[in-house]
Amino acid sequence: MAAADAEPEELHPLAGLDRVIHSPARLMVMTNLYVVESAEFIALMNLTGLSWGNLSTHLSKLEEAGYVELEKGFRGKKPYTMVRLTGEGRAAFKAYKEQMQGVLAELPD
Amino acid sequence: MSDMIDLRDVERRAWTLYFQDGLWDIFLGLMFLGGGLRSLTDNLWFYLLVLAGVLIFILGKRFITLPRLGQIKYSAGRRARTNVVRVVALGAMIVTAVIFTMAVTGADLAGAPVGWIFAIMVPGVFIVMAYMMDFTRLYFYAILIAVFTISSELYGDPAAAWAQIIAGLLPLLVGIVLLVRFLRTYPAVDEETLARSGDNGRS
Repeated sequence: MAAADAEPEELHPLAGLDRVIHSPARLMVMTNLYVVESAEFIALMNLTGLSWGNLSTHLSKLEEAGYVELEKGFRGKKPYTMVRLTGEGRAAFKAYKEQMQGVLAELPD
Repeated sequence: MSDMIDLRDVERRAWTLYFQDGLWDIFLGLMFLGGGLRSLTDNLWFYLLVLAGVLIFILGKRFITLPRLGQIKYSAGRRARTNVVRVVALGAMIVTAVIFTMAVTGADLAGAPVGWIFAIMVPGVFIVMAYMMDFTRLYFYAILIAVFTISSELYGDPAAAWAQIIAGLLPLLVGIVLLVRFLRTYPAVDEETLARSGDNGRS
Protein backbone atom coordinates (compact mmCIF):
# COMPACT_ATOMS: atom_id res chain seq x y z
CA MET A 1 0.00 0.00 0.00
CA ALA A 2 1.35 3.38 -0.96
CA ALA A 3 1.90 5.90 1.80
CA ALA A 4 -0.63 8.22 0.18
CA ASP A 5 -3.35 5.53 0.43
CA ALA A 6 -2.74 4.88 4.10
CA GLU A 7 -5.39 5.94 6.58
CA PRO A 8 -4.41 9.19 8.35
CA GLU A 9 -4.84 7.48 11.73
CA GLU A 10 -2.22 4.89 10.80
CA LEU A 11 0.22 7.65 10.07
CA HIS A 12 -0.78 9.85 12.96
CA PRO A 13 -1.91 7.82 15.98
CA LEU A 14 -2.49 11.07 17.87
CA ALA A 15 -5.11 12.08 15.31
CA GLY A 16 -7.31 9.24 16.53
CA LEU A 17 -7.38 10.45 20.11
CA ASP A 18 -10.75 11.31 21.59
CA ARG A 19 -10.82 15.09 21.27
CA VAL A 20 -13.55 15.47 23.84
CA ILE A 21 -11.20 14.07 26.47
CA HIS A 22 -7.98 15.39 24.93
CA SER A 23 -8.11 18.85 26.46
CA PRO A 24 -6.20 19.49 29.70
CA ALA A 25 -9.24 20.68 31.64
CA ARG A 26 -11.57 17.88 30.53
CA LEU A 27 -8.81 15.32 31.01
CA MET A 28 -8.45 16.52 34.61
CA VAL A 29 -12.19 16.25 35.16
CA MET A 30 -12.37 12.78 33.58
CA THR A 31 -9.32 11.56 35.52
CA ASN A 32 -10.74 12.69 38.83
CA LEU A 33 -14.12 11.16 38.08
CA TYR A 34 -12.52 7.92 36.87
CA VAL A 35 -10.94 7.19 40.26
CA VAL A 36 -14.11 7.75 42.29
CA GLU A 37 -17.74 6.72 41.96
CA SER A 38 -19.09 10.27 41.91
CA ALA A 39 -18.14 13.71 43.12
CA GLU A 40 -20.00 16.85 43.97
CA PHE A 41 -19.50 19.85 41.69
CA ILE A 42 -17.59 21.80 44.39
CA ALA A 43 -15.36 18.81 45.06
CA LEU A 44 -14.49 18.70 41.37
CA MET A 45 -13.73 22.43 41.44
CA ASN A 46 -11.30 21.87 44.31
CA LEU A 47 -9.71 18.79 42.79
CA THR A 48 -9.19 20.27 39.34
CA GLY A 49 -8.54 23.89 40.30
CA LEU A 50 -11.03 24.99 37.65
CA SER A 51 -13.27 27.98 38.21
CA TRP A 52 -17.05 27.55 38.48
CA GLY A 53 -17.65 28.79 34.92
CA ASN A 54 -14.85 26.77 33.38
CA LEU A 55 -15.94 23.58 35.06
CA SER A 56 -19.56 24.15 34.02
CA THR A 57 -18.51 24.65 30.40
CA HIS A 58 -16.37 21.53 30.31
CA LEU A 59 -18.99 19.44 32.08
CA SER A 60 -21.54 20.55 29.50
CA LYS A 61 -19.27 19.28 26.71
CA LEU A 62 -18.67 15.99 28.52
CA GLU A 63 -22.39 15.64 29.17
CA GLU A 64 -23.21 16.31 25.49
CA ALA A 65 -20.78 13.54 24.57
CA GLY A 66 -22.58 11.23 27.01
CA TYR A 67 -19.47 10.83 29.16
CA VAL A 68 -20.83 12.28 32.40
CA GLU A 69 -24.20 12.57 34.07
CA LEU A 70 -25.27 15.23 36.52
CA GLU A 71 -27.74 14.69 39.30
CA LYS A 72 -29.17 17.56 41.29
CA GLY A 73 -30.53 17.21 44.78
CA PHE A 74 -30.90 18.84 48.18
CA ARG A 75 -29.05 18.14 51.39
CA GLY A 76 -31.42 19.66 53.91
CA LYS A 77 -32.13 23.02 52.27
CA LYS A 78 -28.81 23.21 50.43
CA PRO A 79 -28.72 22.29 46.76
CA TYR A 80 -25.95 20.11 45.39
CA THR A 81 -24.92 18.64 42.04
CA MET A 82 -23.33 15.20 41.88
CA VAL A 83 -21.29 14.32 38.81
CA ARG A 84 -20.38 10.79 37.71
CA LEU A 85 -18.89 9.12 34.68
CA THR A 86 -21.36 7.14 32.59
CA GLY A 87 -20.44 3.63 31.44
CA GLU A 88 -19.65 5.14 28.06
CA GLY A 89 -17.46 7.80 29.69
CA ARG A 90 -15.55 5.23 31.71
CA ALA A 91 -14.96 3.12 28.60
CA ALA A 92 -13.90 6.19 26.61
CA PHE A 93 -11.41 7.23 29.29
CA LYS A 94 -9.98 3.71 29.46
CA ALA A 95 -9.61 3.62 25.68
CA TYR A 96 -7.98 7.08 25.71
CA LYS A 97 -5.58 5.99 28.46
CA GLU A 98 -4.52 2.88 26.53
CA GLN A 99 -4.16 4.83 23.30
CA MET A 100 -1.99 7.47 24.99
CA GLN A 101 0.14 4.79 26.64
CA GLY A 102 0.66 3.21 23.21
CA VAL A 103 1.56 6.50 21.58
CA LEU A 104 4.01 7.49 24.32
CA ALA A 105 5.58 4.03 24.42
CA GLU A 106 6.50 4.35 20.74
CA LEU A 107 8.29 7.65 21.21
CA PRO A 108 12.08 7.45 21.09
CA ASP A 109 14.02 8.27 24.29
CA MET B 1 0.61 8.16 30.28
CA SER B 2 1.64 6.42 33.46
CA ASP B 3 4.52 8.88 33.63
CA MET B 4 2.16 11.82 33.29
CA ILE B 5 -0.77 10.82 35.48
CA ASP B 6 -0.64 8.33 38.31
CA LEU B 7 -4.29 7.38 38.86
CA ARG B 8 -3.54 6.07 42.37
CA ASP B 9 -2.06 9.45 43.19
CA VAL B 10 -5.12 11.25 41.85
CA GLU B 11 -7.39 9.01 43.94
CA ARG B 12 -5.21 9.50 47.04
CA ARG B 13 -5.37 13.25 46.54
CA ALA B 14 -9.16 13.15 46.32
CA TRP B 15 -9.25 11.10 49.51
CA THR B 16 -6.77 13.11 51.58
CA LEU B 17 -8.46 16.40 50.65
CA TYR B 18 -10.75 15.81 53.61
CA PHE B 19 -7.85 15.58 56.09
CA GLN B 20 -6.80 19.14 55.33
CA ASP B 21 -9.45 20.63 57.62
CA GLY B 22 -7.49 19.74 60.79
CA LEU B 23 -10.60 18.38 62.52
CA TRP B 24 -9.09 14.95 63.17
CA ASP B 25 -6.08 16.66 64.77
CA ILE B 26 -8.25 18.90 66.96
CA PHE B 27 -10.37 15.91 68.01
CA LEU B 28 -7.35 13.79 68.94
CA GLY B 29 -5.62 16.75 70.61
CA LEU B 30 -8.61 17.48 72.85
CA MET B 31 -9.02 13.77 73.64
CA PHE B 32 -5.39 13.38 74.77
CA LEU B 33 -5.41 16.75 76.54
CA GLY B 34 -8.64 15.95 78.44
CA GLY B 35 -7.29 12.56 79.53
CA GLY B 36 -3.94 14.05 80.58
CA LEU B 37 -5.47 16.92 82.57
CA ARG B 38 -7.85 14.53 84.29
CA SER B 39 -4.97 12.27 85.30
CA LEU B 40 -2.96 15.24 86.56
CA THR B 41 -5.74 16.93 88.54
CA ASP B 42 -8.10 14.01 89.20
CA ASN B 43 -10.89 16.34 88.06
CA LEU B 44 -13.50 14.50 86.01
CA TRP B 45 -14.69 17.76 84.41
CA PHE B 46 -11.71 17.61 82.08
CA TYR B 47 -13.45 14.75 80.30
CA LEU B 48 -15.66 17.51 78.88
CA LEU B 49 -12.70 18.34 76.62
CA VAL B 50 -13.06 14.87 75.12
CA LEU B 51 -16.76 15.52 74.56
CA ALA B 52 -15.90 18.91 73.04
CA GLY B 53 -13.49 17.17 70.67
CA VAL B 54 -16.22 14.78 69.50
CA LEU B 55 -18.70 17.64 69.00
CA ILE B 56 -16.19 19.82 67.14
CA PHE B 57 -15.36 16.91 64.86
CA ILE B 58 -18.98 16.01 64.02
CA LEU B 59 -20.28 19.57 63.70
CA GLY B 60 -17.13 20.77 61.92
CA LYS B 61 -17.40 18.07 59.25
CA ARG B 62 -21.09 18.90 58.80
CA PHE B 63 -20.97 22.69 58.80
CA ILE B 64 -17.40 23.58 57.79
CA THR B 65 -15.91 20.83 55.63
CA LEU B 66 -18.85 19.50 53.65
CA PRO B 67 -20.16 22.89 52.41
CA ARG B 68 -16.64 23.86 51.28
CA LEU B 69 -15.38 20.62 49.78
CA GLY B 70 -18.60 18.93 48.75
CA GLN B 71 -19.09 15.19 48.87
CA ILE B 72 -17.17 12.49 47.06
CA LYS B 73 -18.32 8.87 46.79
CA TYR B 74 -15.18 6.78 46.67
CA SER B 75 -14.40 3.57 44.82
CA ALA B 76 -15.12 0.10 46.21
CA GLY B 77 -11.38 -0.35 46.90
CA ARG B 78 -11.26 2.75 49.09
CA ARG B 79 -14.42 1.74 50.92
CA ALA B 80 -12.89 -1.70 51.59
CA ARG B 81 -9.82 -0.04 53.16
CA THR B 82 -12.09 2.08 55.34
CA ASN B 83 -13.95 -1.05 56.42
CA VAL B 84 -10.65 -2.63 57.52
CA VAL B 85 -10.08 0.42 59.75
CA ARG B 86 -13.58 0.05 61.19
CA VAL B 87 -13.03 -3.64 61.97
CA VAL B 88 -9.64 -2.97 63.62
CA ALA B 89 -11.06 -0.07 65.67
CA LEU B 90 -14.05 -2.20 66.68
CA GLY B 91 -11.70 -5.02 67.75
CA ALA B 92 -9.73 -2.57 69.91
CA MET B 93 -12.96 -1.26 71.45
CA ILE B 94 -14.09 -4.81 72.27
CA VAL B 95 -10.75 -5.57 73.97
CA THR B 96 -11.07 -2.31 75.94
CA ALA B 97 -14.67 -3.10 76.90
CA VAL B 98 -13.72 -6.62 78.05
CA ILE B 99 -10.85 -5.33 80.23
CA PHE B 100 -13.03 -2.53 81.61
CA THR B 101 -15.84 -4.98 82.42
CA MET B 102 -13.40 -7.33 84.13
CA ALA B 103 -12.01 -4.45 86.21
CA VAL B 104 -15.48 -3.20 87.19
CA THR B 105 -16.77 -6.65 88.08
CA GLY B 106 -13.83 -7.24 90.40
CA ALA B 107 -11.94 -9.78 88.29
CA ASP B 108 -8.37 -10.27 89.44
CA LEU B 109 -6.23 -8.38 86.93
CA ALA B 110 -3.19 -8.18 89.21
CA GLY B 111 -0.18 -9.30 87.25
CA ALA B 112 -2.01 -8.93 83.94
CA PRO B 113 -0.10 -6.58 81.65
CA VAL B 114 -3.16 -4.40 81.03
CA GLY B 115 -1.14 -1.19 80.63
CA TRP B 116 1.21 -2.80 78.15
CA ILE B 117 -1.71 -4.20 76.18
CA PHE B 118 -2.96 -0.64 75.67
CA ALA B 119 0.56 0.69 75.09
CA ILE B 120 0.87 -1.68 72.14
CA MET B 121 -2.72 -1.89 70.95
CA VAL B 122 -3.65 1.81 70.70
CA PRO B 123 -0.57 2.97 68.73
CA GLY B 124 -0.98 -0.20 66.63
CA VAL B 125 -4.54 0.77 65.76
CA PHE B 126 -3.33 4.26 64.79
CA ILE B 127 -0.61 2.81 62.56
CA VAL B 128 -3.17 0.61 60.79
CA MET B 129 -5.46 3.64 60.42
CA ALA B 130 -2.61 5.78 59.06
CA TYR B 131 -1.68 3.14 56.52
CA MET B 132 -5.16 2.15 55.40
CA MET B 133 -6.45 5.73 55.30
CA ASP B 134 -3.29 7.21 53.71
CA PHE B 135 -3.34 9.67 56.63
CA THR B 136 0.36 10.16 57.36
CA ARG B 137 -0.02 12.47 60.39
CA LEU B 138 -1.53 9.53 62.28
CA TYR B 139 1.91 7.85 62.28
CA PHE B 140 3.22 10.81 64.27
CA TYR B 141 0.23 10.67 66.63
CA ALA B 142 0.80 6.90 67.08
CA ILE B 143 4.31 7.73 68.31
CA LEU B 144 2.92 10.34 70.72
CA ILE B 145 0.41 7.81 72.08
CA ALA B 146 3.15 5.21 72.46
CA VAL B 147 5.25 7.74 74.41
CA PHE B 148 2.56 8.60 76.93
CA THR B 149 1.20 5.05 77.34
CA ILE B 150 4.70 3.63 77.84
CA SER B 151 5.52 6.54 80.22
CA SER B 152 2.45 5.58 82.18
CA GLU B 153 3.77 2.03 82.60
CA LEU B 154 7.35 3.03 83.37
CA TYR B 155 6.99 6.21 85.43
CA GLY B 156 3.31 6.59 86.33
CA ASP B 157 1.79 10.00 87.05
CA PRO B 158 2.52 12.89 86.96
CA ALA B 159 5.18 12.19 84.29
CA ALA B 160 2.72 10.20 82.14
CA ALA B 161 0.00 12.83 82.58
CA TRP B 162 2.38 15.57 81.43
CA ALA B 163 3.45 13.43 78.48
CA GLN B 164 -0.22 13.02 77.57
CA ILE B 165 -0.90 16.76 77.92
CA ILE B 166 2.01 17.56 75.59
CA ALA B 167 0.84 14.79 73.24
CA GLY B 168 -2.53 16.56 73.20
CA LEU B 169 -1.20 20.06 72.66
CA LEU B 170 0.81 19.12 69.58
CA PRO B 171 -2.07 17.76 67.44
CA LEU B 172 -4.33 20.50 68.79
CA LEU B 173 -1.95 23.20 67.54
CA VAL B 174 -1.46 21.41 64.23
CA GLY B 175 -5.24 21.12 63.88
CA ILE B 176 -5.88 24.80 64.60
CA VAL B 177 -3.25 25.89 62.06
CA LEU B 178 -4.67 23.50 59.46
CA LEU B 179 -8.24 24.64 60.12
CA VAL B 180 -7.32 28.32 59.68
CA ARG B 181 -5.46 27.50 56.46
CA PHE B 182 -8.39 25.38 55.29
CA LEU B 183 -10.90 28.19 55.88
CA ARG B 184 -8.70 30.58 53.89
CA THR B 185 -8.09 28.13 51.04
CA TYR B 186 -11.66 26.91 50.67
CA PRO B 187 -14.20 29.70 51.09
CA ALA B 188 -17.86 28.84 51.57
CA VAL B 189 -19.91 28.69 48.36
CA ASP B 190 -23.21 30.56 48.34
CA GLU B 191 -26.47 28.70 47.71
CA GLU B 192 -27.23 30.42 44.42
CA THR B 193 -23.93 29.24 42.95
CA LEU B 194 -24.55 25.74 44.31
CA ALA B 195 -27.98 25.67 42.69
CA ARG B 196 -26.58 26.73 39.30
CA SER B 197 -23.69 24.24 39.38
CA GLY B 198 -23.36 22.47 36.06
CA ASP B 199 -26.09 24.56 34.38
CA ASN B 200 -23.77 26.32 31.95
CA GLY B 201 -24.89 26.15 28.36
CA ARG B 202 -28.38 24.91 29.17
CA SER B 203 -31.68 26.69 28.71
